[in-house]
Amino acid sequence: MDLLVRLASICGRENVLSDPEDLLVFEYDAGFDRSAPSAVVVPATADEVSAVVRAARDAGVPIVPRGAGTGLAGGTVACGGAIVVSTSRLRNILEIDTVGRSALVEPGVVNADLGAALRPHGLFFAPDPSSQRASTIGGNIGNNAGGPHALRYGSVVDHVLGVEMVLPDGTIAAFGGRAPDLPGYDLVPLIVGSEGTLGIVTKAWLRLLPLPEHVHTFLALFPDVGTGARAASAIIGGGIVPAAMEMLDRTTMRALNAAFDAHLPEEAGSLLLVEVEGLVEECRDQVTRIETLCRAEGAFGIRTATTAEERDALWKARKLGYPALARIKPNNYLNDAVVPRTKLPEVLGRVNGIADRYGYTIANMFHIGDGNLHPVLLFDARTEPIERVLRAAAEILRVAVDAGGMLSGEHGIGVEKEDFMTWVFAPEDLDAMRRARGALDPDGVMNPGKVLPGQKACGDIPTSRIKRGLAEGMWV
Amino acid sequence: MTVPGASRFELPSDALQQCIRCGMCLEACPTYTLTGLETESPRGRIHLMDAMTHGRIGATARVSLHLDRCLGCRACEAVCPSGVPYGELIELTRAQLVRPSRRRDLLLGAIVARPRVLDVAARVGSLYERSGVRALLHATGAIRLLPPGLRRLESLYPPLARPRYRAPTPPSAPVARVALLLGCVMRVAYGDVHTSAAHVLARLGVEVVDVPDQGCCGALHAHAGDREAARGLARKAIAAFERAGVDALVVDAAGCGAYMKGYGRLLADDPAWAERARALAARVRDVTEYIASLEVPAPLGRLEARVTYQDPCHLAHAQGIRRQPRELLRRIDGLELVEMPDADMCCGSAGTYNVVQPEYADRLQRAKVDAILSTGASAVVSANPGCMLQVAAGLRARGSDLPVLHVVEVLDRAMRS
Amino acid sequence: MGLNELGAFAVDGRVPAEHVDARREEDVVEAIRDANARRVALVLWGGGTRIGIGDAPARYDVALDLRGLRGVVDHQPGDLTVTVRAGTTLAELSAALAAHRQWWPVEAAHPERATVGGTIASAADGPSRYRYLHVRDHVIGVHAVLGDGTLTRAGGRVVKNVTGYDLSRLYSGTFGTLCAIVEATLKLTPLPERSETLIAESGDRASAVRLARDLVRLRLPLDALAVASGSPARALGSSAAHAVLVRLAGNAAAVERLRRELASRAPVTREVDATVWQVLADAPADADVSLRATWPPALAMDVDAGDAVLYVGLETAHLLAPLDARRIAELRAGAERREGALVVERAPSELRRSVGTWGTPRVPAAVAQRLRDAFDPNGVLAPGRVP
Repeated sequence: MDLLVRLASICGRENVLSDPEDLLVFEYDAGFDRSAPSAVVVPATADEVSAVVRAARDAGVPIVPRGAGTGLAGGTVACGGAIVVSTSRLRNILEIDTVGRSALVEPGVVNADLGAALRPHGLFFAPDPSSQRASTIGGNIGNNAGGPHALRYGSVVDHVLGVEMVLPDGTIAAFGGRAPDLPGYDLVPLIVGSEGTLGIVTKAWLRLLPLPEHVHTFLALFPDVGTGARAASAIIGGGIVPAAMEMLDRTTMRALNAAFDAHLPEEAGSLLLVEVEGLVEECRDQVTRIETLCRAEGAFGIRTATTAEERDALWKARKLGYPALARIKPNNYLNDAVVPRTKLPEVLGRVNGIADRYGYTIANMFHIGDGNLHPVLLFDARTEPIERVLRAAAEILRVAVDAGGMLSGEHGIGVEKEDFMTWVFAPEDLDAMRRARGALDPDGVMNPGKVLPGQKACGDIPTSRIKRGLAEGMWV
Repeated sequence: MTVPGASRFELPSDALQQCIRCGMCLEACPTYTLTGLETESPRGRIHLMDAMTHGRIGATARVSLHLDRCLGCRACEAVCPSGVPYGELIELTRAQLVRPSRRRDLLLGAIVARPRVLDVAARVGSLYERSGVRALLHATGAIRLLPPGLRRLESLYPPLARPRYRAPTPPSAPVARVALLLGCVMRVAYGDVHTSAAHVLARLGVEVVDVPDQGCCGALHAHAGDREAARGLARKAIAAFERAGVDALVVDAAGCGAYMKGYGRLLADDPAWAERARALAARVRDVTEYIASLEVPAPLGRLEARVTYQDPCHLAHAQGIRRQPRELLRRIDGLELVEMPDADMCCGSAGTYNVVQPEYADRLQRAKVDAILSTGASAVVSANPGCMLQVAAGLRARGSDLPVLHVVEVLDRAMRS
Repeated sequence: MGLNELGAFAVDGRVPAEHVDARREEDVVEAIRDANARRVALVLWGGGTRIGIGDAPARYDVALDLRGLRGVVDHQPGDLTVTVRAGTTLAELSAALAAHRQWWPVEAAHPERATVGGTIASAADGPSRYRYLHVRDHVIGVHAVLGDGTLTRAGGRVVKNVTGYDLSRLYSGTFGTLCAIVEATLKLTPLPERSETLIAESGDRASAVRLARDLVRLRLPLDALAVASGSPARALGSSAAHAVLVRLAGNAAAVERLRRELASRAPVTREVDATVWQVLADAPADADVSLRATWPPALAMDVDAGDAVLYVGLETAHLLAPLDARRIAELRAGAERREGALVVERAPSELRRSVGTWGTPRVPAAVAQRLRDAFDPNGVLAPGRVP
């Protein structure tokens, strides 16, 4: 095949994969939708990316960018005969500007590696998705990743000054740059979170923050999920925005204790993992107020991490919590709906009700502070049909939408939820999105079949077909 | 879709099912970080195993290539939140994938990868016999394999042969009685490391009892895909150490220690041996783990040196032992321990790996040497013979004469002063 | 409306033929559809505080006045969100939120006139940016009428959201050339318990700038930081030619601590009234010539350009002296060499035409044009104003 030869001449033979066995390894991300690409190419420079994009374009083959493949919405799963362009060899940190507090990095840099490189300078990159040990800055940008500390610092979009991107026609263009507020349209917020549908980011200028002088991390123990949720609402409603505020229910605690020896208090029905940071005086005050509010809502215990090691252990358990649930049941379906924070207690009650009705064990471990739910349905795919799991997940989405919420807080739409987009947006709203997408990718060659409904490219993925039925059937 | 001939491949469904493709293993994997290719990642390899088990693909040369490129370092297993038993999966995979003839080559490779074995064995007749090397060489027609292998292996050759194991004078009032695994390769190739280990133990009041007929632990055979041979060797070792009636079985080769700690799983389906295997496994201790658990004097001798420590995969990842060797080194007066970047990244030795996957092994070795040299240390310390050999060869190739020592050698020198 | 009244809606000397006073979203839809039908060009008006920014419109027939879209639609204090109509002024919004001790952390010029819609559309800035960054980061959803008259919604009412493309933020800084924002849902912030402003005066600019840089390097969480030089310094009551202003905010103990730390390391001790920040925010909107320079990484401070407000730590300088075209071109070239920019926000028409408003845009022209074609296919929204 002509394209393969050309790709090999650009990136070297060993960096072009086309054996069916090799392609199988790219049929998945961390979610449920699977489809193998027609080839995989792993370029090492922006120029190579550009040449690859031109080659694919000449061959009429669509392109799916891929970072570490840790996404949960199928954004990097290639359908419609697309090739995967992986950024995993573009992993240089090009500059760290300690005065201007910015960094210039390639997209394959792993989020945690960037953090480690910045720490000696007293700086950090705020977005901390739970996948940060493996997920890349490019992937974080593609998904507008969040993480626990998005509560205080916002998602990736708040921390990207600019990007260099290879456009679908192969040209390398800059959007924004080292300085904020450059003239002309600011396409950074369109590109961040576009799930690889507009181009392939080859460099990013990131905004950095100075590490806080003080961090205080504690657990508030509640008898059940409802009381914990009411406390979280009361904290936000009381005008306190901690750096992070996470809820874990008992099922989750059990899994984390088994996996990490985390010593979480399983006698609690739920707990809030709260972190405040900043000036020590500010922290003290916030902690007192938060603890008071928690006790008023029924918290029966407060446990504070007294050392950095204890704090790290708590966050390790939390951030690796989702895969640790595999210790309870081998498969799990992770939802990512987001609701107004005042609706949390009511929504959680209804979500747990759905799981009960279906008979699924549910694990709740999520960013309660910004209303970003992650109810996880646990099952065993060997014995339980995926259709039923997807139906339960759709019902959960429906509850969130009815409460004024949205489909995704940080995982994206991908091929997982594109059909549900009609639940929250009218045709003209979706058409506006289509216009924006078309301005960058007029021929629809970048990651076809993703984000917006009504596309054919990914129609053959079995899970996708099931979800389309659910999306169309449940609304009216 | 089922591929003809693929149905024979099978792995335990529970173990495979445990992987949810989250990708948290990627950055821990030396071959993934080296290549950026997910085909060379733990998640990718598990997916291939799963696809073979379900008959979606056959055991093609391409699949074998990716699985062969796995170092077996188990760094992925150590970071896996879901608890996938990767070490077991890759071992079971190799047991099914590797053709018997290739298995033999791999095992031979493993042995000639320590050329001193051959060299020393030729002179130390009795050990040679007992270690089984001779039998192996004869049975498999080693001569045919050696020339290309040896050409590459020459670079691994240390300039001096090392003295063999000499048991210390037992302490007068021992605080504990232990056995020391002499093993197959270590016994002939690193006898002096055993000597250091035994002398350090003796100085701390621990009696090292002689255990005849202990043989080989079986790890090399298993990693080469010969699980049955490994089980046989395991039974033999269990019987030998049971007879010694010791408090602990101390191991100074991380690869052997890691393997013996897994005897319980290895023989779980053998009713006659399962319980005995579990019991012995529970008594296996890495030498650094064991010494660190003793009430030892502070400081542990004196040695003016600036050293850096290389985590052996089978110590750090497979046994979770990172703290103890460092603690012991820090307890030596005058010794400064400087950390190298990615100390727990595989050096590329990995049993037969530097014979079978020379290109990857070299790249990993170069990265490791870079990391070591960046510290400005005057010596490299590790705790596994394979790593020591690989690191020393890499340093020599770079024109560096930095000594490469086992933790117990450093302790031995410090405590002698 | 007579010619005199229409004159109040002139942009760069161009007076529109019509004025449409929109009161409801439907009015905006109708006005834009009508413009499409008649192929006439519109300029959207809010409070007019930033209407001067942009090149002269290529065509300008109708002033579409959005100030009549007024009022809070829904405030959810427990969610820290508010939904307002676009014509609501920043002052009205602040008043509505203050009762709940919340605010929308955007300080801009003339809040009694500046509207929420205009502030978003023109990506307005002010002292709050030191801590709270872009306006767009505090917008979570909008109702917008596209250039073809389609009423659309983007974003939502939740504070974290990746459900499709983030058009709400894309619209920020497009100066009314892609759509008319008619309603916005905003992310709010609790008001600090206490806030204090300290000043240090200085006779020479270099030492004032040095002091400000040192304050940035202290890594203390300051709420705002600026250097005023020349006329803005005098306007806020400085007796010296240059003044460094620092705002501290937080609970009482934190503010106390910050003040102590500053006092021990820098001559910043005198407290002044918080209203000085509004004086700074207003200054660029009132000067005859107002340039916004972005100049990383060492900031525009290396340039002595006379009257100025420098936002240290943001790489931004508002230069307010009556510079000539040659000097502006020089400064712009210097800024662009440093990967920065210089935008002529206010200038007499002739001067602006000779130097251009924007300089080199940092978005490919073809992409910007395709975006405009997609959202405003007939080019009715302020054609020619933005590159």
